[in-house]
Amino acid sequence: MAENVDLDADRKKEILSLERALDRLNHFEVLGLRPGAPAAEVKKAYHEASRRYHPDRYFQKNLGSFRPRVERIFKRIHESYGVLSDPDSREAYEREHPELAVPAPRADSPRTPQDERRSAERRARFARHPYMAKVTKVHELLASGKKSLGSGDFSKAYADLHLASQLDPKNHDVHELLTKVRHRHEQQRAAEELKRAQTAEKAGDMTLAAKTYVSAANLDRRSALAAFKAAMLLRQTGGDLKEAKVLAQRAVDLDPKSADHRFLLAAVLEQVGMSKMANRHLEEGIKLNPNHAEAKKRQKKSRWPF
Amino acid sequence: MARETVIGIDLGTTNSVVATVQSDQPVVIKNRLGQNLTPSVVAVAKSGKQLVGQIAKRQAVTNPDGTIYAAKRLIGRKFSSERVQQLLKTLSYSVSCGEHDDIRVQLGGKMTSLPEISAAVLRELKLDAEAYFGQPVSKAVITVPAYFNDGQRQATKDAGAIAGLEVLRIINEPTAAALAYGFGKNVSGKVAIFDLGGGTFDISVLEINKGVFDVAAVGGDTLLGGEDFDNRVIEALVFGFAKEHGIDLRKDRMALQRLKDAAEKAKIELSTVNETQVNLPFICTPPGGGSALHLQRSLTREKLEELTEDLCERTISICEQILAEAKVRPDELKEVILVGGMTRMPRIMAKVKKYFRREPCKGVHPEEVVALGAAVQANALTHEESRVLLLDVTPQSLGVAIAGGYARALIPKNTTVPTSTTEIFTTSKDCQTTVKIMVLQGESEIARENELLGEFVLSGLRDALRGEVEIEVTFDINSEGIVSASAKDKETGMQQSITVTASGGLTREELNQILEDQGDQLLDQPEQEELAERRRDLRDVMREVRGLLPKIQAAMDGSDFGIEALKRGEQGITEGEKVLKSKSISAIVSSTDQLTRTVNLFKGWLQKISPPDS
Repeated sequence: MAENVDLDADRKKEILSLERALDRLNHFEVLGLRPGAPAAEVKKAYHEASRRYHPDRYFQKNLGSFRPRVERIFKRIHESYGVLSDPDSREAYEREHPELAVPAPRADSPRTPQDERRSAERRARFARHPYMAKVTKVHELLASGKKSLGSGDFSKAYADLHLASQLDPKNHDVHELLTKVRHRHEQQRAAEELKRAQTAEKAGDMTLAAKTYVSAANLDRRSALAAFKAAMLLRQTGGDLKEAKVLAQRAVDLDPKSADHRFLLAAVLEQVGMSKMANRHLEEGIKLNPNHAEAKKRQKKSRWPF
Repeated sequence: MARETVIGIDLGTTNSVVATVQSDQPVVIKNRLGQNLTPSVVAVAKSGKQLVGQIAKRQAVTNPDGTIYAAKRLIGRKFSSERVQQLLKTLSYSVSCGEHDDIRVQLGGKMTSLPEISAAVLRELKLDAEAYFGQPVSKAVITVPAYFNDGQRQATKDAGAIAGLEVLRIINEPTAAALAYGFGKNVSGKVAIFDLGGGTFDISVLEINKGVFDVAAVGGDTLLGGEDFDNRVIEALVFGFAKEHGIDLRKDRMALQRLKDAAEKAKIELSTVNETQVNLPFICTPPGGGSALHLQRSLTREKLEELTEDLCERTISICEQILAEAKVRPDELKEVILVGGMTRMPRIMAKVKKYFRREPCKGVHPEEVVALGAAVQANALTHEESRVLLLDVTPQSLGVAIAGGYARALIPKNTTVPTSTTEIFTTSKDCQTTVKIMVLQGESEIARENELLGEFVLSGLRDALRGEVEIEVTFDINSEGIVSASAKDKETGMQQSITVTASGGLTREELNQILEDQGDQLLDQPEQEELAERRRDLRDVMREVRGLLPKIQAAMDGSDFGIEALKRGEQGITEGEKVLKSKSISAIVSSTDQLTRTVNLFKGWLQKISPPDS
């Protein structure tokens, strides 16, 4: 202690007591952490400790017997960090010392209201920074999007994630999740539209039913029912025949085994003047359902009489 | 107290840069020719004068065998190594083997070691810094490629010592680049440094956290750089010429040197234009006589890329390997920093962009950033208020040779220093009473494929069955990077240890000899010219006083008036004679000043006493 070196008395005392304590301390204590601290905290504490005890901090200074002490402390800090930062060695260490594995209850290191206030202030300050604000917002949106996704509220999840992707177009996670949610969201909306359309159909409002069936078919391009119904009602209500043709064709593509789909498509094609195609589908339909009277009639009609 | 002046030096393969930190800002020190980059070229002219830097490079064409370039590719290597043997084919100066497998080059009729060549460059940079500060500079941080082994690092240190510099620390070039990038900015996160210089390729991953620079992984290839790209161009040119005229231009040293310059120039030009011309008139005369031949060829960027595709590809495969070691995915990185002139090549930039999936950082000057970072580290080490702390790592694994000719690593590569580690070994045979501890450096599992840094024997073990005697081996690397190894017999407590000092090719005695031989000369050299000039000044003024003395005596005409001034004049002359023999510039200057005052006094008198004759 009396040694004349380039360190003030407090620092000397600190180094001496820490060096003496090294053998008693566990890896968490060496870094000044509570047991079970997460990896990010471990790294931060390691950098903080290096700033204090790395021998380069005392480069060219006369440290006398304190130089080996400081080196010993740093080596130990580095060793503790090495054990705690590598998942495998940390697991082995925690298995050996089960009492350190679980995060100590908060009561062990009671946070004073002052601490709370300070950290709230720090968070607020961070949040104000434009970059951090963006990152935080994206993070929040991502979390809330995931939550809504979990609870099945796809429309909210879609809205959140869409906003997140606007804020941070390069975020890979957001992008991936957004594609997934968009799909689910559209399916959900399609189902809703389909239900609305069915109610309208039952109520006899064919124009509205046709419109909602079309939008359901557009939202869920894999629904044969929506496409079929949409095409049928469009034809009945005198809607856009071209659209009806596309939808009828889709209904056939999605479910080629349905005779009704074939007949509808044939009828629509007939109406738009593509009778050759219409006949082909008609024949296909009759192959599937030979007892369809109306179809037979139409088939006969379409054939050239001798 | 005035701030201690410290410098950072990027001792490059083709160019070197010196920098310092001034008012908290790293700045490049321009050389005395006003340039930021000093070519790492050393030559001895026909007159016997040593030339360094731009002047040496300029005369390289006419003096190919007296001009040493790219010394960094050879420094600290063994002459017999395969890579050196391969390199020799492309060098225009002659290289021979020293006494202990070190490399010597022929320079001005003298066999010179490579640390001496590098020292000449360092000395030049030191003088530039001294001219800049107006005061002596003796402390420096020097950078080396990350993949330099202990021998190469030691050789660089030796070069510093020969140049009269106290080398505070040898740091890795990419690490230095990161220091310059992160200095003064409050950045946090992981960055990758992609450093493709004149002779070496390095890749490093660092984590920056509020002034703490934590190196996660380093690696690279010490023989992959701009020179290799140049050589590909040279080969293409030589091959084309041989096909046309049947002459191998490489056999002609002067032609080779001209080709080298032209290839480098063409390569640099192709970074900005798509096509360039290589024009070398009168490149050689045909052996059978006849008029001289010219080399004229156009070269496209596409052709250059085709010639060097495998080199570009190699950089990326090394990146993959190092990132895997650091357990980092390319998209986790915050920034990719390009260092070295070669990273200006569009093909390299495109490859980097594709692999790292981002635009590389453009905020740093690729050729100066390393020197700036070295200056930052030099400043951090010598100035307490600096917030910068570099957690550097070991570049290669350290281990011991074990039974069966295998190597066992005790301190793996990329371990933060200082560090120490202990492992228990046992005897491998019955009744084995001695063990030989061989300290190895390298990544191979086969002992002899690694570099042997040192060895020692622990004897007096008890007679026992194999595996019964336990020997505790401890490796320690302190913050200066010095390795020590010790072995202890756990039963008896008997202990043996060594401090490993890698050899940079020169033995301790040889280094001391060089320092002694050059010592006086070295310190004098910079002052020699100034000294001569000051002496000339003093002689001039003395001559004037001598001429005036009789006139004064005559003017006094035997009276006592001014006798003291006359005496002072005479005294001044005797003093001047004495001072002329010494080497002290300050004494000469003060003596000159005094005599100048006397001259002015005399002249005033003469004018008063006897008005000038009409």
